[in-house]
Amino acid sequence: MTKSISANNRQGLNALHFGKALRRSRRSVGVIAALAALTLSASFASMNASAQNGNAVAPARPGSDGAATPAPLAASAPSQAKLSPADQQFVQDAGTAGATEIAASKLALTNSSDAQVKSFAQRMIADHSRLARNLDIVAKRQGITAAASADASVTGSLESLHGADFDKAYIAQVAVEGHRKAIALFSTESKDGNNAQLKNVAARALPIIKHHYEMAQQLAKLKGVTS
Amino acid sequence: MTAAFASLASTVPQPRQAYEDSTMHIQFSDAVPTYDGDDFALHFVALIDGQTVVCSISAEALEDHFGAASAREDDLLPAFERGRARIRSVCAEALDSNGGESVVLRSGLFRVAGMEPE
Repeated sequence: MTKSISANNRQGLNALHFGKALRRSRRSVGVIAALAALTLSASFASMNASAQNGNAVAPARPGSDGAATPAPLAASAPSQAKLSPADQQFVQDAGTAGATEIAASKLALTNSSDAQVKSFAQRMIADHSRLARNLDIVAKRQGITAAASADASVTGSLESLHGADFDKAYIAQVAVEGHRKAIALFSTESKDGNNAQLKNVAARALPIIKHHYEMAQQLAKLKGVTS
Repeated sequence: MTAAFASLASTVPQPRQAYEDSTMHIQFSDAVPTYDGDDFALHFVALIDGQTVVCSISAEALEDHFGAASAREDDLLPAFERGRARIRSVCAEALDSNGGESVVLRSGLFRVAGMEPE
């Protein structure tokens, strides 16, 4: 890992070039997103019938969606096609995984007495809260408003544990196993998801989750936890 | 970093030396970057004062400067490995000059970064 880096001697120069590069990149991302939205809305139109049949989760409120969505999106995808069943499942599974990670990590702050475990937990709370917000924004645009709740079987089993026993269970079940599953979940969505925004959220969350998984494995090694 | 050095740096082409006294503490995760087939980019994690920030490098940059044969994941990942040190260095500079916001490293940035004209 790492060293800190400075660039102050060339900062002004680079800031110029970089600013340009960034503006260009934002523009092209915007164009790509608009194109993607157009293509997607076309493909959604054909998929809509099947999606709606199996759709018990998302509340049907196409009208209010259009009104609540900021202009650029509404302009490029006025139909606000609903999520495919696979995308809905992803929103639900990713929401649960994140909520479980946060709830278990909050437990770690009280039930663990290990500084490294607590600091890992703190990192998880911060990062997963941020990831959940990003996911929420997209889910809400698609009419999914139900808040995700943690997996009670995981948090329930951790609640009664303290000290080293807690650490072992938390590291094995939540830190290592939870992130291993999350990598699979987010990878699949980032490759095969139907909704462009969800795919993008998944693709951008994935490196953070992989980083967590690596941290978790290091922590497991450090604490002698076999996963 | 002194003003004298700064003026020297602007006249003499300097090798890209970087790791110094930044106002932010910038680190990078060793986790393998993730491929984004929609954006044609690899995403990786920078840690700024411990906060995770997702940064990206375009497939084009990896093709132009790090020998990736195509924009396929199989070609981009080894190219990233080869260029890891330089990519981190350029990324850290970019992060340093934009206050730690997420950055996308594009081909032009690497071209400029090596030369530093006048």
